[in-house]
Amino acid sequence: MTTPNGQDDGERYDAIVIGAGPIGAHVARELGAQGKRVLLLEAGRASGVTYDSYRSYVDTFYTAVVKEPNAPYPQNASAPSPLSTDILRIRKGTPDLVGYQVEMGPQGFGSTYLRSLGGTSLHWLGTAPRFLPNDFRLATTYGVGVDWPLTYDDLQEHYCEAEWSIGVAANKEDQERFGAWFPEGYDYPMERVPMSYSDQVIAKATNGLTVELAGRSYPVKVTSLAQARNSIPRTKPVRVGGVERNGYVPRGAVGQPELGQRCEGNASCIPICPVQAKYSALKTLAEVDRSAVTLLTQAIATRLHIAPNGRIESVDYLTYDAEGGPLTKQTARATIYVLAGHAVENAKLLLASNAANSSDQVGRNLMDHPFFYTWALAPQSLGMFRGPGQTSGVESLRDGDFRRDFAAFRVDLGNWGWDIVNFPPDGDVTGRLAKNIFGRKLRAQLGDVLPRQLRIGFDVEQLPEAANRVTISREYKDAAGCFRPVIHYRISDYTWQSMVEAIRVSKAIYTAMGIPEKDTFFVPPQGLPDERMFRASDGKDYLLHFIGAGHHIGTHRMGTSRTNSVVDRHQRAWDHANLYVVGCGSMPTTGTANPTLTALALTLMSTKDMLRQLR
Amino acid sequence: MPIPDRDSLIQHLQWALELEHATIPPYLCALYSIPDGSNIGPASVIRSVVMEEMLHMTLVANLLNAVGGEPLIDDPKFVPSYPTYLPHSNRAFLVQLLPFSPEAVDIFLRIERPAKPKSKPEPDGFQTIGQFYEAIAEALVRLTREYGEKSLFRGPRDRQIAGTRYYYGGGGEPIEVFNLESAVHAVHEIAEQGEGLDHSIWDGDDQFGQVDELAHYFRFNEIHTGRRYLPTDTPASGPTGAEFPVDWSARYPMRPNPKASEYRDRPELHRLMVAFNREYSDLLRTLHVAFNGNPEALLDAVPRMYALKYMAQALMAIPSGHGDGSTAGPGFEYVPPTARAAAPTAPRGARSPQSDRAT
Repeated sequence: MTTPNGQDDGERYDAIVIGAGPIGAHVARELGAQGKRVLLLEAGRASGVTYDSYRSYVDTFYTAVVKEPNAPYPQNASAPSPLSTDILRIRKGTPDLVGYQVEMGPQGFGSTYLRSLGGTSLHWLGTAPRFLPNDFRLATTYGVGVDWPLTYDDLQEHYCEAEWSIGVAANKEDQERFGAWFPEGYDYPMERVPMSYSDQVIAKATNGLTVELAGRSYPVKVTSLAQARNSIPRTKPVRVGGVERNGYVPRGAVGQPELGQRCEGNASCIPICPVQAKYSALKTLAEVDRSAVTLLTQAIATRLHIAPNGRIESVDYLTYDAEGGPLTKQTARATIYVLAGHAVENAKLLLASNAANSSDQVGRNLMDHPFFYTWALAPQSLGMFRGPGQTSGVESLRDGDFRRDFAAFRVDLGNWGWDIVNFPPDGDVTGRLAKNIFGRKLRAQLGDVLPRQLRIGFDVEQLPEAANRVTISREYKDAAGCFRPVIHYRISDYTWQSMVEAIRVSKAIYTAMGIPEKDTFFVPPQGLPDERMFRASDGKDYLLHFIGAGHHIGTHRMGTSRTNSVVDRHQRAWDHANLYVVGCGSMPTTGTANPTLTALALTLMSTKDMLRQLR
Repeated sequence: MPIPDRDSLIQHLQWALELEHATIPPYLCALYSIPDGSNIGPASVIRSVVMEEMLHMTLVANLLNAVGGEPLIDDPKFVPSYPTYLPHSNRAFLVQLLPFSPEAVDIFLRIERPAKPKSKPEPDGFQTIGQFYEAIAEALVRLTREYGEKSLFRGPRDRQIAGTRYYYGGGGEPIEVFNLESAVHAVHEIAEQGEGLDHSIWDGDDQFGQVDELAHYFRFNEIHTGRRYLPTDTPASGPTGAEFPVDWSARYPMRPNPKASEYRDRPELHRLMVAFNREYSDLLRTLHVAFNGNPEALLDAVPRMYALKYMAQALMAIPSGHGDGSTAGPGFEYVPPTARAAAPTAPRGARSPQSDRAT
């Protein structure tokens, strides 16, 4: 089904899906399974579809000097991706033009994504919690943000389907909180990934601990994290998405299925799982019915054409052989069009086509979970650097009355020591070498320090704001002549205040663990691009910082009317009856859950609407 | 002489356990001598075979438990000293611990060689492993008639390793053995994965929803000939498919049949070799516990297997000092429980930073 470069055969498809990441792959699989003829366009390359070429990613990663999230995946001049190393300090009033994204500030948008077959699912961590019921009705419950045009209950069935489709490991009793419920008889396809030793130490120390948020007391409860990573499969028959399933069979590596049937703790989930125990869209692409779905890689969608009756009538795309080389313009037609190219890329394509934007919401309300972190050196070994990036978190602060005043957060208990703080163990090694410590002494110091490194992170909620946006400009184009995303991004006090609360939560945990104050840290020594002095509600000043979580949300949000949103609850564009814009960009608010699972659930629901249109 | 009674059947199944185990160290030496990322085709062939040998060991333990036996694994007699003949074979060839090489693949082919059509079952002094298992299958049927099914399969069910909880990957699932049908099924599974089903090159694994795989012998023959089998090929035609790239030079030149005692004069290396042997022997203890009524212990065995892999790979990168360019390697030598003390933990690969969480 793969052709290296696009040659449109002039035929009319049932559906054209733009973007072959996890969302696009699911749309193609679902439509293809019903015999619909689908053209799946992917701007990036088709590397990684065979076991050997996936291995070459692993080798590139091992030899890369800067191991950032896109390090294993070669940059592609024709379909560039943002890199975290490009995101520098934004000087007031001067756009940062390094790399692919044009950053207008005032804060840098520190999240990356990947334009390649399989999309950003190649480098995600695989964290797959559900949203909470109140996340869907923030305006009604707390008077902030907006409500979604659907509820948790509406998504229930599709959440279950999504969890079985990508293979989520969790125990449902760990995930029942704040009214989040599961159908009778349902459970996740695999048992939870065991909690790491450090998780257990923290859980024990914080047993019974509470913190006060906006005058109310909340428990700090460590629970296992839902993640799309292979563990022990459940074998009991269960009904999911109306289909009786006879237990779950973990899917191993693409092309090498006896590898990767369980997570083996290689501890490099970001940027690459060497055995593919972590879900990536390559697994879904392997399930696509090849007789129904045509995949064209190295095919960059550039423009949608709109007929006088408001329907989309065709899509233009550029194909290339060599990266950065000559481009061939092609056109394809279908009954329906599905944009699944990532929140930023979807917005770019809509803006470039002047489509779906009667609400003026396209590209606006760009959000992320600004990731704030603190760290400490525990007096005893925590057994760090074992297992996947996270195995547990504190999920008990994800909802509450305090959301009237400041953002909720999901607390991430890292398993990789001070990871983002100073890039250990490499950072610890080079730091000591610079001080002329080597040999036995170096080894002894590392052996002492590394297992004691604790880092607590906070995925902080953000509210939709019209001024935070992706836009395009004739001034900024890439090598293929396509628009580069121009990003305006500012964190509001609702989110900054929450980082101050996060410091208090951190201190409570560190104190409960018996860590002396001098070994706890809240401000990065080297300074970060996005640090800022913030005057909190207690009148004190705090130096705060954050990095991107990689959760691009909100750029084509769904809503209740064509005036307040780009798409309806089925992710169908209000302005064009045969256009769907799907993925995290459709989500009106961020909640505190990593968004991929919810985007998948929304999209599985949308595919049913698409099939109704195609009937 | 056929297997006469239950005690003899139990004895033969214990031999089978020793036989299955004896093939694992040679395969692992070849596999771990290949540096990560090179010889990807051959490495995945060897890995897939060795994982099935582990499955076979589990199936034999299930058989042994089903007929009321007790697998004996953490025991000096269980572990061969390489070079060795296959236990209870006709002593036609020596099995050695070698790095990935034509000589090693040659031995693998001899281990997995299919029985000639119509060859006799051989309970002892067998020429092929298939003949040995034929003898066991024959005895199972005959003794079921003699003792009655309930009486022959009297082992407690909770000693069985079943389902995907403990064992995963590698061409199949453990079969719970509790009657004649499941016992014969398990025996055939072992023989077919090794030699091929009814003299075809395929292993007939479809029932597990696995990709139809070549039997071990033919998988090794792909490395040997540097060519892939096509679905239409037969044992007689040999492989006629695409080229199968093999780079015999891309491997650590491990000195054959490593022994810790050879390196007494090099304390650092000696310590590492002994540490490997201790960890290995302790893995056998864990398996012994798992196969004797504590299936949950298999979950503890998994990290130990990874630890052994890292230790073996580290040893293979250390020059042996014999002046022939060879390197040290894992000995797979038995260390009695009293001499094991605390097995040291394995070195871990370094991991790396990322600056965006991309969760």
